Amino acid sequence: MTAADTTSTREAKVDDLLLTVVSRHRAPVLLVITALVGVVVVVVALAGPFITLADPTRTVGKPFSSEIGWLGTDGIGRDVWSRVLHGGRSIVLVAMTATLAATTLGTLLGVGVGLARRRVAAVVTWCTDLLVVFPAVLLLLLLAAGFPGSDLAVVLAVTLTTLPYSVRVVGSVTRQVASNGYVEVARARGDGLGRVIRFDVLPNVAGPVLADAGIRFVAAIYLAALAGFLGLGTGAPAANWGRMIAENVPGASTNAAAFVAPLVLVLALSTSVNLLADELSARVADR
Amino acid sequence: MTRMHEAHVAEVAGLVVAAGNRRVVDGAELQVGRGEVVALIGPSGSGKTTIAHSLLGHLRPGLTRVGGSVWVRGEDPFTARPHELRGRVVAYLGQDPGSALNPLRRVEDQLAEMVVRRRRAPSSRSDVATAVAELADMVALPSSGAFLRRFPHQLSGGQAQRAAIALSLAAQPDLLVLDEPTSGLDPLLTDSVLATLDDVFSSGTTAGVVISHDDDVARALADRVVAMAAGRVRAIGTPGEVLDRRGVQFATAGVNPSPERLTVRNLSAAFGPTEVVSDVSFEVGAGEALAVVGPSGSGKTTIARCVVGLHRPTAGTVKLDGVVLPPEARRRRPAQRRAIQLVAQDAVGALNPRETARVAIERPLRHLVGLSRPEASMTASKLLEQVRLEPAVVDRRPSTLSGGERQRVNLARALAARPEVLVCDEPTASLDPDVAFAVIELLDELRRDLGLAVVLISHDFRIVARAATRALVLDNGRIAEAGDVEQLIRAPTDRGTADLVAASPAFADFAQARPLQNSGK
Amino acid sequence: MRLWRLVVRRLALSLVALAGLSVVIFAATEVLPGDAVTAVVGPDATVEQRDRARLELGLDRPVLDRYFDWAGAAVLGDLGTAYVGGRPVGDVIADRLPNSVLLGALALALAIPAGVVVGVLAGARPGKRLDRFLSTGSLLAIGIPEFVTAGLLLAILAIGLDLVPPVSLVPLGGGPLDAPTIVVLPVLSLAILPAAAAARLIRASVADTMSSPYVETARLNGIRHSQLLRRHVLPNSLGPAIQVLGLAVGAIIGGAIVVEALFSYPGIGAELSSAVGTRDLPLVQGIALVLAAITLLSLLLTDIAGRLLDPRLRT
Repeated sequence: MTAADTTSTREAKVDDLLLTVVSRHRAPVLLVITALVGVVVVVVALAGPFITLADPTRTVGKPFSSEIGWLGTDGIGRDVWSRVLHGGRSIVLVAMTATLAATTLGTLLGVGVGLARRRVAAVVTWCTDLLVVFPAVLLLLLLAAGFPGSDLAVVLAVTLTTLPYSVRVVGSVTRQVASNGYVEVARARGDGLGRVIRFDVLPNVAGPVLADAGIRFVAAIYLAALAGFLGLGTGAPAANWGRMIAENVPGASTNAAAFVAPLVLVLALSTSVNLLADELSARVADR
Repeated sequence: MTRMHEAHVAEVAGLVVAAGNRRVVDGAELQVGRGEVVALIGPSGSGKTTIAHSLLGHLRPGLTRVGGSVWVRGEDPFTARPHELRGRVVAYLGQDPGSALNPLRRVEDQLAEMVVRRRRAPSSRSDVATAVAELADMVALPSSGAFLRRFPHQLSGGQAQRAAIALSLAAQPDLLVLDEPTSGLDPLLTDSVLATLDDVFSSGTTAGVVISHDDDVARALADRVVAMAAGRVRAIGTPGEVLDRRGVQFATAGVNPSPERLTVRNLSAAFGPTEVVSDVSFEVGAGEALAVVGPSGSGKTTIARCVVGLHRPTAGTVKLDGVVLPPEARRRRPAQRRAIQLVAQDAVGALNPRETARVAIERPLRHLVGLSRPEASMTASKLLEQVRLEPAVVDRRPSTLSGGERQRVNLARALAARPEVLVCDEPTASLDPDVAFAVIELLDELRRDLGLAVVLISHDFRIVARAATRALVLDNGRIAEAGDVEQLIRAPTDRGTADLVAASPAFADFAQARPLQNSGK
Repeated sequence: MRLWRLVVRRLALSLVALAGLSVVIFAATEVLPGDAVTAVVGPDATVEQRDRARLELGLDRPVLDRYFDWAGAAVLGDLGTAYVGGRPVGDVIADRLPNSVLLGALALALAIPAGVVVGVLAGARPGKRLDRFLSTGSLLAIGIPEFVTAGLLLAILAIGLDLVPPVSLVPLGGGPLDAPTIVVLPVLSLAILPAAAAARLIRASVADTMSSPYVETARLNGIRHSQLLRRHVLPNSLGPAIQVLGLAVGAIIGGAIVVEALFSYPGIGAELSSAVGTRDLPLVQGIALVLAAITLLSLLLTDIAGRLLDPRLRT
């Protein structure tokens, strides 16, 4: 009899799979291309400064000339090619650090909130919801304004801006996991909180946390690029794709490359990261 | 298109439906005569839903019809225009009928939308209103305008179910397809839905195909039963011929029922301001099983949670071997927590999806009993044998186990802590009947062999009869009636008890059980 | 009756939220060790000048005292005086806010219908090719920063095709509508993100309703697809989806800060980013507070509107 009821579940499971197949999963070709674009842009951003020996802050010729170098010059005659190679690193590093920080903190706080008493959880949830409501750009501006000219401030600002989302997501997933029979059985049986978190909660929230980290990274790239555009973080002479777009708008008609190159890079970075994060969440959800 | 098939309202011959290479339905046969009700029964995955859907010319995404024919009133539903066929020739009602009502539209508007789809549609506004009122009458709903102008959320649970039945009949179909109409409903609502459907079908104008995994539904409604297994028809016949004739079996007491293990005195518990358990007292001895019975919302699960220390009662005490236990599990001593183990309601949610059966069982052995890793591993194997799980199962994760296997792992894990008291909260609620009885027999055997004190929470008197000797029946958190299980079933003094007993047609032979038709609210 | 109780309760909750956000705003700008004094006296000032300025600005007083002074005055409608230019913050906001509201309203009027159409088209047949195309598109649109969209539009419409001016210069003594072409780029750049967000939310809501038991039952009982959408799906999915309005207002406020700065549009967002640049704290705080209030108000209104549409919550 045991063998018979195993088969029937297996059949039921196939039915479930059939239902999910139609719903998701992009063409592998698209995914591979997206992943390649993402890797190339990230490598350019991180390793760019090693590719060129040229100083991105030195004036090499006339302003907004399209004659000099691969991509011409910017508003005060600096070489756009070397500025492009230098300008992505801080965006990617800021986004990575902030994502790591927000995910770590968010997991700690979220698991805490998810397991806390109803009333404590309600208060924390209300607070995080409040911060989520607040436009992220506004919070970024306010926080980064505190330490002008510091990338650390941007990291802090991006972390704090995305943290409430993380806490909210991890908190609700944890609450869901904790309401499961196995957590209750473990608690009733006398497993301590530490053991329940280690064996029952963490392995089961790991997937959603990973998916959330992907989404947080998308938001962090967005905010880090935005911070550059708004002139927050390390100050003026240093290259930054976001700020280059702002700097080079006036010369867009004479040297379009100076404006278009960073634009395309930010676009490629945010788009590829976004698609990959979405794929990640879809796979985690299907698991 | 009307030809020789006219004798039957619906006919399925040699139907083969495949999902990829696998045949979900493999040569099924089905005939439904005029006004006849046929029940399609079988375990989940046996293809019964697919056959029923094919009568509506509908297959779930991913399924394709490979061969065979389907006729409804002489037409092939797969080539008929859905708007012509569905609703007026074949109508459909799914699980939990009340959910078929659109929450944002008034009941009369929803009924009218289907009434105007009749083949002979009423032409004037007042004729539509009359037809809507007649429909309400037919399912024993008030036919006043004020009532019919209500939104679904303003109806009681039973009224919503009946309104949905009226909705599915509104376009006067020849055939009504019911997909698990009582699944997920508590026994009293189940009873009310079955009574209404029985009324509707007994008028003989509408034929029915009822899909259910529950024999009781087939017994209550069907003229004929088609039993499915693995995509094929296993048996066809009258309910008496096909359905399981397992008699009602009563549990026997343990060899020497000993003094009280678990004593609950004057227990009350609340959710926020609402009291859900009021002044409940009982005791269970070693080797004895006590059932706590009641409809959903009667507070029985809360009692279980108070006993194991997951819910803080507002008053009363829980004693183990005469010692008062602290109300919260984390304040109880390790030995006290070990002594009372919970077998939880949801067989899927009760197992950590990331742990194999072996790991799940080894955890209490190592952390609670204090065995070394090799000792725990050996003991786990013995426990798995004790609950009769095959060795192949032990290293698999819960998602690849069947419902019966999962509940056995659950039992083994609870036994691993070497408990004295086992609290089982609806241990068979999500299982097919055969599997449920196998699990409940195992529980009964373990109780006698190990001298466990068992508290069995259930809404199903058939399960209770098989595994418990004494029972208390709850009504809104209070004990309505208590005593010997057989006595309760044979001569219930409380109306609620009688309703619960009557909800299991297996007890129809018992003189005191009230007939089905009168029990609708 | 119950509705009024609800409105009062929500309003009270919103005020508490606003108070909470005022703490966040104040803390973010004041507690962090920035240097507001430099903004007033300039980087070359002597130590004495700096100390005097610090005293004049009241920056030597405890943070809590300063918060309550600021918040107390704000309740009475006084947001303080800008460091730069010395104008009352309230006047600056009153000057610039209407321009931004115009921009936001136009963007909203564009984004919401577009989002609803895309969302319903995608959600009506979930999993089909059109759904996948539109869902991927709206997903991508959500991840692209506004300044990149704005930059692309600028490159194509203003520089490539020369259809509209690249910079939003308002004619002297007039408003933005005196030169309507200047609002085209900012409005388009602002509308894309909220439109995409609305489309995703509505798509999810419509797809969810499509799989509900009552829609399944209605479909299997022969209700036509068009009637199914009109009578069963849309009323049930647009109600919950009305919160897109609140979401969109939030996205537009965030976007306006960026877009106005990029196009030099004379709105409150551009004013805010320039105030951040000059570390004009009263102006930054005042603008942030007003934007927070607008966000909360829009959430409050959509919340109440959502409840009005649902008979389960109305009675």
